[in-house]
Amino acid sequence: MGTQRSDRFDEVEWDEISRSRWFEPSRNTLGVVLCTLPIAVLGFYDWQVLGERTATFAFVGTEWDLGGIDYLFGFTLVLFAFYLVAPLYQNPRMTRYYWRQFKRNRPAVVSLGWLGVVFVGGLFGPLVMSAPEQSVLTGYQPPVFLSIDAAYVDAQTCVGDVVSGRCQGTWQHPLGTTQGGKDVLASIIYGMTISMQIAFITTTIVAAIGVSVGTVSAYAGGWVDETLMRLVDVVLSFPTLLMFLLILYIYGAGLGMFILIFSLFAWGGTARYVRSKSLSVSEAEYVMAGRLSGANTTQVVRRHVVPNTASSIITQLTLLVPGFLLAEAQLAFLGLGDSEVPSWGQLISAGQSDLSFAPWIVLAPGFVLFLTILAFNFLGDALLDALNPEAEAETE
Amino acid sequence: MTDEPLLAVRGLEKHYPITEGILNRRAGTVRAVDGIDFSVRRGETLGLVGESGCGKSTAAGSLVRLEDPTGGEVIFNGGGRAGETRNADGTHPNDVTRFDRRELKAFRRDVQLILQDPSSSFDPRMTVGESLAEPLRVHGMSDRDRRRAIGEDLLERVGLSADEYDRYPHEFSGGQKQRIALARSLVLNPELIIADEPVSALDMSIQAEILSLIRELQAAFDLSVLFISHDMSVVREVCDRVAVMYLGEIVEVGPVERLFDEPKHPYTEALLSSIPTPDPRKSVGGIALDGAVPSPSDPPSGCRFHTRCHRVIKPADVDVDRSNWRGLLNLRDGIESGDVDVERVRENLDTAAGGNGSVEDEAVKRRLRADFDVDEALRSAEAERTLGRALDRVVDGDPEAAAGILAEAFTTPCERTAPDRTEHADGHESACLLHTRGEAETGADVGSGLATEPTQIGRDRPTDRAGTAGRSDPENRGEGDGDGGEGRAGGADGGDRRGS
Amino acid sequence: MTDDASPLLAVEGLTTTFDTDDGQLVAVDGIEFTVEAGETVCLVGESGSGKTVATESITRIVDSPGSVEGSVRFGGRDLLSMSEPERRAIRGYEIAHVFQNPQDALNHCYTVGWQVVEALQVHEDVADETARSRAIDLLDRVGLANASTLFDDYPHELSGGQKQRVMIAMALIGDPDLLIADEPTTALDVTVQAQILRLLDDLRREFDMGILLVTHDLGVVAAVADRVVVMYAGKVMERGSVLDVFERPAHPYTRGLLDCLPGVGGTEGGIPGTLPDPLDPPDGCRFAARCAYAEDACRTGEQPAEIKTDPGHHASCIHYRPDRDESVLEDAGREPTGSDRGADELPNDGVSTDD
Repeated sequence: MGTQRSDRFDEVEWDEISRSRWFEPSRNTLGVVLCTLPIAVLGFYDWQVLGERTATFAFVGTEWDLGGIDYLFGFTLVLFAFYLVAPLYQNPRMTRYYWRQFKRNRPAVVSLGWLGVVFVGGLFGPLVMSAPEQSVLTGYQPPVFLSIDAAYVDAQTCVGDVVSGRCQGTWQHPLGTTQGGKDVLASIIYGMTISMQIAFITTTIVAAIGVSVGTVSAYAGGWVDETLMRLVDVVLSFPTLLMFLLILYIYGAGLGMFILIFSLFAWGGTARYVRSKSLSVSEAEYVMAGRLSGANTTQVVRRHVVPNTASSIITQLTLLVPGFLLAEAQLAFLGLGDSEVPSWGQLISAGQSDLSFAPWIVLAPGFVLFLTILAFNFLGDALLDALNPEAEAETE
Repeated sequence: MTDEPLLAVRGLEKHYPITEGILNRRAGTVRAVDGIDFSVRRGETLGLVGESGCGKSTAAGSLVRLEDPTGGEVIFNGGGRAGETRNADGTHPNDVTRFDRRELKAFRRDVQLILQDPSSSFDPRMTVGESLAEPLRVHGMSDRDRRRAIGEDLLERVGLSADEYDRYPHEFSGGQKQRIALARSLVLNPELIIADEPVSALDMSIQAEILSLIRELQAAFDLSVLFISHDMSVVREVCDRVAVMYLGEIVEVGPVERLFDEPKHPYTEALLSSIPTPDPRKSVGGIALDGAVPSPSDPPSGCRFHTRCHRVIKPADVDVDRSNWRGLLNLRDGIESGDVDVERVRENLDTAAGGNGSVEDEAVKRRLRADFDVDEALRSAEAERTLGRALDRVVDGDPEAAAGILAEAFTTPCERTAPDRTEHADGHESACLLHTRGEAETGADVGSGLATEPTQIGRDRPTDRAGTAGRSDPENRGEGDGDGGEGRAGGADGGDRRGS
Repeated sequence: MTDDASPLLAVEGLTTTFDTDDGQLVAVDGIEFTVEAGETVCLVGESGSGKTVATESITRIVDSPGSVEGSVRFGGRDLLSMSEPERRAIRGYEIAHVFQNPQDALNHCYTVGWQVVEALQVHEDVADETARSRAIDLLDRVGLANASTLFDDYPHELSGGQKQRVMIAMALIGDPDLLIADEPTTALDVTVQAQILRLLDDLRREFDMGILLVTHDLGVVAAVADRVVVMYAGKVMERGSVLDVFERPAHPYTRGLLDCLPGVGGTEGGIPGTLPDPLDPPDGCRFAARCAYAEDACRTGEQPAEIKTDPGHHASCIHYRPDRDESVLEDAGREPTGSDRGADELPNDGVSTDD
């Protein structure tokens, strides 16, 4: 083809090529770096330049403020976009193959749809909807098509009509309102953001620590392996809840602390899994082929071991998320959650005393929570089957 | 061009320590490869054959330094390294075992390995194109399009099409994957290819395709090939020279025709006779080998093959015939290793006789003789007396004394002396005491074992088995003899893991 | 050949179908063969040709989504129409199986002897002591030295060849009339393989057993077979006595296979192409796409009916029809015709899942 380069393997001038080496990051890594930079700059600006009370985007005139969790969430979104979504887009054949495997499992497809709704709702809902506001005058509005006894909501406070002594629900508040008059639907959508933040950030932390510890342990061997695995034992047997309560009572704890504490003590199983998977992957002939081609350990681990273990821990991580969501809801229900945060758990907790006459306050977010957890579980099972091309190839 | 070989392996050793306890105390050594010598000339194909567990794959792994060998040197004269001479301190500048990182990386371009199992030799999450071009990337070719162009060109050369570059391994059949593996091994333009059982996982019709592709590529790119296989018929087809390995050592090496037509080492002979030939009129020959391959953690002394050899040397002063001699040695080994359990034999006979607890010692002795194929009465009265005394000790429950008696009377030179290599003709060498002592030619009854026991199978073939009474044929007794409880197990397992 | 008398095993129109996510997979498609008492019949074929499924269908031990049709007559009884308990009484007793991987067939938690005894007691109500002595006899019979010592060994203490001997011993428990051995030596070394083959042959002679041996190794076939059944893509391509098949191979596929043998046909490229997709088998002869002698007539209709080329020697190839000249097949080295792939083109259909 070209004059100075040949496209035949036996006419490559290796001496030149091996000498002219330079660092070659993948396109996706470049993308991550480029997208993380503005987030980091904004975060720094928010933290150092703006005062506590100033909203982040005050300079463009909105009230929209960002907290630490939002920055972290943004960063994990970038990671997911470039290391999960982009590869799927770049390898359409593999994606199609996975999809064919995946779509055999109908409940999982429905689950994926539901999670898509939660994701989009959580990401864009707060941008297009104003936050649910307290309005004592419109408390206990029933959802549309339902009604409530006028003893709780009289004709003045009922937004809809009062028919034969019962206040009817309206489309203004499709899922009704809480005691304080907050719109339940809006609260649920704001809760989606929280749920997504919990899901993404914990997953990222668990995956990062778990994969690093597992891989290092598998490849270093010896006392490093021994030490790390004992650390895993400690992590696995650590009473995370007690730790969280302790911190809560001493310092008080918000959502950030919850995510941090729970994900910092949840990577044990992942690390152990990654370690055993890495060991088996490193026995595979393709890893041997990689080493034989001259790749050093780092290259082999990066190119073969991590991708092959990572795809199989996706399942594990998917099944980990429901645990966090439930834990958050439970803590909130017990009044131990972050009351600043409009999570589903907070909503359920707020409605518990009104269960007898205004059950929607608990049931609506409860049902959403239940569906989400169920969806994650279905998804995990389906991914386990879909992400395993080796097993499939054997049967063919 | 000098006539220095492309690859010269001298005394290559790979020992694995066996450790036990929490302190990792060294309890023994598995001598997977124990000092092998061979060389591969430019453009030739050398076959390395042997049963599973003989260390041939370990040898391949050590000589490309997938695992670091524990001894010996591997001198590679390819890749512009030709014509080097030894340093003053006796080391060789081209010794692969001494290469540093940089040299090793350059060496990786010159020697490539093709692995056995095409189904696991590709990363399931990479397109075959990426896998194929990965070595280019590793060696610094950052130009994505150029990698692709080279990869596509190679795919076409191995008989696939360029658009298969973007497919995934699971979309290919085993034969196609092995073609791609061949392409990958070529991508860095190596001089030597080590093929480790490259066709044994493939179907017969595909095998032939791959073999002929290997030969085509070899001719087109002037490659040298080290062909590792357990399949003698494939080796005969593709190799110029053959080295036969047994238990970590090379027992015979020679040009392929000579070695197949005139095998010198008894092990080669046995191996060749075991190959089923595709001729229905011919029977599977079969020099039966007693016992399994011994454990490489405790290899037999002297010639390692002596525990199974059908031609094991008999000292002139012992006058018994061949099968009895083999049986006597097996009996001795069995008693020494504690494998012969008289109480069990007695119990067994007792149960068979109805369980009244009155089994006579004579019955036990007869049983032992039958078990080890020793005749009821040996030809030589002296040998018979010795055996009688030893059996008495055994039934009296004193195996140590019995072993002592037998060891004193029945020993073979093969277990005392490790044989040197004897050269028979140009480049045909074997390591067997029969040759060093010149007994092969003079004969005595050394070679008669073969001639007197032509065992065959197949019903149209006349046979011979009718004559050989009942069940205690030597070859039929199989792996049982001589291999003892733990030793045997360790041998089989350890060997299988390390070997091919 | 005594084709008329009732053979030990007569398989006719045996068809095994699996329901998969991608449709119906016909693994074995209407095959026919017989096994006489005291003879060894080899079922030969490449992986994916359905030979293993065929043997499993005989005693109906195929995996659950499979369905078996046709007729399998064993000693005059139809195995497929009898009830499962009746079949169970025959399976492992009158018809015994030996599998490829002795490693997987033995339970690693129990001693070898215990497993033989257990298998014995499943079929016969015998006292422990008797069972033990019978088990030792069996182990002894298959050439395991020191059977009484070995009785108390665990499977991991045995070599591959020894384990295969134990499996054969277990198969002998019911004094079977038919032994089905599925690649019994593939996992073993060549020296051990020779020993096992010899053992099987001795046992066949001693017990006048019929042996149905599945293998892909034509060397093994030549060594032990009396008759051969060549399978390809679920169909029988050719069957006949071992001498006929090896010396006068009729079907082009058999010829191709024999040419692939190292040292015989000069390994000029094997048989180009790959097996057809079992989910969507082509019309006509299954082998047509890879056959150098295929004509348009080969690619339409059903697999050609078997034609007798010699007494007891059948081939499924249209070139043997009376109205055709079979001598075209003698035209050795002929290039593939028509739309077929050439020998140097890529063999590239088959397992692609991309559509």
